[in-house]
Amino acid sequence: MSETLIIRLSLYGIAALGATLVLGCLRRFPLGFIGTVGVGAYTAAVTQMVAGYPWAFCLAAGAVAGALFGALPGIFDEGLVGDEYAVLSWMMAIAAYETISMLEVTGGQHSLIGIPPLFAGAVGLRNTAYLYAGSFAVILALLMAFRRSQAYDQARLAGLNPRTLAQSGQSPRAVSLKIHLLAGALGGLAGALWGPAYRSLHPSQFRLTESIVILLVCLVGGQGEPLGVLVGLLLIFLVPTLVDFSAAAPSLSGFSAALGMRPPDDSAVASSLYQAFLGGVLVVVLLFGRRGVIPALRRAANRLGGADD
Amino acid sequence: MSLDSLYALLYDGFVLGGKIALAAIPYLLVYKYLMMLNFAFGEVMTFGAYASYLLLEKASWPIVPVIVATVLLTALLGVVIELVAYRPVIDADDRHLPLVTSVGVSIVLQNLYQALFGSRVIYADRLNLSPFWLFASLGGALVVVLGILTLTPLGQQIAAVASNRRLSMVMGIRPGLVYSSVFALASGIAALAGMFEMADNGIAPTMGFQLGLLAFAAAVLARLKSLPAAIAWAFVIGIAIQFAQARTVLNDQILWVILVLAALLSAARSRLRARKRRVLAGEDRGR
Repeated sequence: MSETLIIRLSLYGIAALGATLVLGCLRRFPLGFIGTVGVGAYTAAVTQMVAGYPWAFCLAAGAVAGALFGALPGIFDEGLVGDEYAVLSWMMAIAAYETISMLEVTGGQHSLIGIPPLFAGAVGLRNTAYLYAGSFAVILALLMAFRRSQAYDQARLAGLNPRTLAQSGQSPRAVSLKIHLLAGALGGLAGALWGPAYRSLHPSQFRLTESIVILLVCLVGGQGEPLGVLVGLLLIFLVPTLVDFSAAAPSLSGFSAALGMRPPDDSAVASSLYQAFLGGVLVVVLLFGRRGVIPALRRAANRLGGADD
Repeated sequence: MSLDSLYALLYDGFVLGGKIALAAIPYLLVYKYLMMLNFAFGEVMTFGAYASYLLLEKASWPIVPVIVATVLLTALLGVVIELVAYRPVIDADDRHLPLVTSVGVSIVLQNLYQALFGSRVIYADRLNLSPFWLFASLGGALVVVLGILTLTPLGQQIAAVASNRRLSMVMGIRPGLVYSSVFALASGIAALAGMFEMADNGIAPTMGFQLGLLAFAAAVLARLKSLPAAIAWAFVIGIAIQFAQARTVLNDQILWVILVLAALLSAARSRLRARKRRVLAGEDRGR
């Protein structure tokens, strides 16, 4: 596996670990989760490039900014029903995107280039890949431990039955806010690591399609399942590498020509087909495999062991 | 600002508002009667635009058959999407499922347009639709929608399914047929909105997305319930955009200001609603 693919998997993995908390614990659909990643990425990059702080401080600044941004939908979470939350989260992401595109310090509509890498030299990319994969593994392990804790059960209760949680003396709103902060911090951290990996940032890297990729990773693996993120990453990022989308380009171009239109070039067709594939997988997963791989495996194991689901 | 430029801005704002209002009707129809937010209407509009372009410019059909065929083809697309992607999730307990499915459909359609036609903007030279036709279409769409909803047996069936799906089935109504009819009607109107947008700004795979966002904001500001309120908000948004762009204070960013305001207003209303519920239930502990 190449270093660039490991970096990509780790970045999406850390962000997906944050998103799966909101999905699994709170039963909310953070459609605009990419907003936390974008806010974290630009906060860290600007802190480093303009203020010149050390990168560890900048990563922390990115995570904090992501946490604060991620907490915003949590403030209004209380009275929102299903799709209202998804819409609010998405609109927040649009607001973040437009604000980033408008500011001078972020480069506006242009790329913010010249972000220093974490490691210089010939082995810099390999070290970065190791660091990112290690960070993802540590966060994954921590969240798997969190999943077995009482705090996780409380968080799930805040999503499933807030009234029962309130009756036990806990504030569902406070629990929801904590989960939002944690999820946002992970999104922000993924964003903060984004800049040093690619050396540049552009607002278009943080659009709705990227949010869909992150959420798809969570849905395929199983909502609220940290291990499911790993499974989702492998399925969403590695399976498409086995499919040659450019093979379909000639027949599509022929169809366009038959309609009297000028067909786009093959690489653009392949890229569009990959995006369409992701959208299609999202629909198929929602229609036929809503629970995801890990819960399905767990159920199968329970059946084999003779236990109840 | 001179009086002439003020009139010009108001005129342009009304025209833009008319397009937003036409595009907002599908969102509102589907939410009000099926309780579903369909983000893919932007791409349905784009389909209408591409279909009319191909019939008009490539097949050289006259304008009236082009409009009729485009509306019918787009209505058919709407029904196919509803049957394949939305029908299995439309009654799901998780209310975000239909919404997210529609986001998936939107991504699929937008990228298929991009793969087929490229990302460049295409202009239809033979399509010349004046604002008169825009307002005539808006009025016509409203008359058709209100006529169907209030005067026909289908309208009664739609109201019955929206009010209580299970009870409507006991009365012999087939909800599936009602869902498809609402989608056909909404998609046909979306096709008209797409054609008017193409006449002004040309077609690109993402053209429906921005108009769809504005229409969605108008619908959200109308609490996704009232058709007259959505149309009024559409005109407010259209005029606000023209004035903002003329003053260059906010320029394109007015879009997100409107969207965020719409979202926050909606969220604040929801919080108020939840608080009222708690107060009525005697559960407010001063949180």
